Amino acid sequence: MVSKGLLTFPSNPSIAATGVTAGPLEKKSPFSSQFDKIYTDERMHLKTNEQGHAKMIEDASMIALSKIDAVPSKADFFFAGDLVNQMTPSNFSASTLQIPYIGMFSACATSISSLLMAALVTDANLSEITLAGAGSQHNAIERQFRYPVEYGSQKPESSQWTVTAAGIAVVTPNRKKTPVITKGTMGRVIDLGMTDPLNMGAAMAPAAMDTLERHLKGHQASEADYDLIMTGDLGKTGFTIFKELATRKEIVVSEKFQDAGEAFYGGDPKFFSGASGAGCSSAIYFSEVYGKMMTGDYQKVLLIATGSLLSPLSYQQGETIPCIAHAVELMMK
Amino acid sequence: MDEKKFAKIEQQLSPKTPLGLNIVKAFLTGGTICLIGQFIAMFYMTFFDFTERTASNPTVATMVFLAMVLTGLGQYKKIAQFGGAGAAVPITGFSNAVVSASIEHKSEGYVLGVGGNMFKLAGSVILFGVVSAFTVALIKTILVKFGVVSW
Amino acid sequence: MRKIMFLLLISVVLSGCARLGEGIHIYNDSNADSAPAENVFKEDDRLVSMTVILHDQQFVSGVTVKTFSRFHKKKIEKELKEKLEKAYPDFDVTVSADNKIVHKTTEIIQNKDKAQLEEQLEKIISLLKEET
Repeated sequence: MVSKGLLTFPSNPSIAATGVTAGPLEKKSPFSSQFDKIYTDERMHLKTNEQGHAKMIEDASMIALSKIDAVPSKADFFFAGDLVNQMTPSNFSASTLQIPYIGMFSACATSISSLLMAALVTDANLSEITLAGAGSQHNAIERQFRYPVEYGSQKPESSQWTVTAAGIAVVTPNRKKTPVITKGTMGRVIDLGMTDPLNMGAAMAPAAMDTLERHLKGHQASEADYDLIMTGDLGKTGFTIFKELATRKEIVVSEKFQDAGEAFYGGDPKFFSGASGAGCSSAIYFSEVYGKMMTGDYQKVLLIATGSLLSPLSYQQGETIPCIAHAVELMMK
Repeated sequence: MDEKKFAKIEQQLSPKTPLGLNIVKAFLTGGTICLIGQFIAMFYMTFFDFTERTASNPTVATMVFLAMVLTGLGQYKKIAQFGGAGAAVPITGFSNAVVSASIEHKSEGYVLGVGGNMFKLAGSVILFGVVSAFTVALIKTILVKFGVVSW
Repeated sequence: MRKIMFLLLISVVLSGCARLGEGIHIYNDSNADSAPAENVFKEDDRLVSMTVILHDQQFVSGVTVKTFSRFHKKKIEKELKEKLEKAYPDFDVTVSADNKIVHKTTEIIQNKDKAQLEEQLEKIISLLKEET
């Protein structure tokens, strides 16, 4: 049986360029040299965290566009999202950029869901240049979901650190010598009854597993076909559980399996289980992974971004944490 | 995969909370905070006309002030990460809750932002503090009336 | 920041060290006998030290109690007061387990100059009356 939600892009849309911006703390990331811009101020020298957040998405978009010598007025679509209420930072950056825009929300999986949308419009021959991506700003998101930033609450080992970063990809019709989007799988919402918002990796792991399984089965692929299978922001805890789940499904878990959240801060215990946030997966995917595809280190990769679709309201009302994972397959042809 | 089976896997693989260690750390942190408070109380008693009883007010105010400064400098959350409840239970934790909420909501202005959200976290401490104080006082009053204990 | 805090703490600690030590210390310039006060002190094993000033019609005393008896300070104060009032019926008895009072009475005993004794005693009593 072919499972639903599978996408193939016969025209092979290209990711022509990427732009990644990150906050000052993200200098600690082993991938920081690959980020296009690192701010010296966590609010990007603006008045509020949210303004800084919008600025970061905007700058990432401009950087990505400048790499293909384009300007915002040349772009057809803009798909982006973040984790703040009603996605206001993305909305404000779209207001500045003046590119026709749809806000995307798949929590931390927004990087891939917007990339899939961009691939769809490009594949349908509707677009020459589409921007897709996501961002998150630590202070703005912490405030959205948890306590005030300066409030002293003891975080457990399983908790994750929301990154300050934004990653935007420019999707164009097929171009030579750039990574192309060949396939994708839209995730289902998976909820296995996890309720701890400080252990979201564990809640998201089954969603990542479900999407991986459906992608491999639906596209008749095997984990051995890929040079890299990278999940979004499961963190150390979630990634351990994900690998255990994969092993139980008789998937060979090798070195190829990586997690952007776990890798983001290089396992620094100061950040507990690792990084999270919409900017985490987009920053790693569009810098490190994209770069390695350009240099030919990776030929074929599978990116599975995970998101937990909770709100402070839903978990305070005692609801479980529904999670989603979207997958995209990139190839260097 | 059903929920129970997954819960079992999750339990096995999620890092355990080091309960014993956390309790020791909380004890040390809370103890240190109280020790500092004791020194401040002694300071007020030695150099000013405060008795042990009346020194408690300026001492509390000083501790609140110190915690406020530490919160503003971004240090209190580090103490709290180490000390857990040891940093949350003394008055300094209360101060931290109020000040951190104020800092956080300053961007929405002083009335709706700072004023409206200052007690977002500390509000429930005040409410349940008053409720529990009332309950304890009520029980004690009844016990005294029946001659079980004396004041 | 840390150094300043440290210095502050050290100065506070050192300044609080002028103690007379265990036992009973009495300054008596009235015509009453000191022995009943000493007896009261000896009978009560919860007490560590006691400083007593007998002056004019005033009996002012600061007591320090054993660590775990600190929880019953109020009760101890009350009991002592009753006993001492019986022993010194002509005096106005003030007993307190408050550190400040112990400190103040100690100062009076250590200070050779007793000229302002009257004022100092009144000050102690007024401190105790202060509420909150």
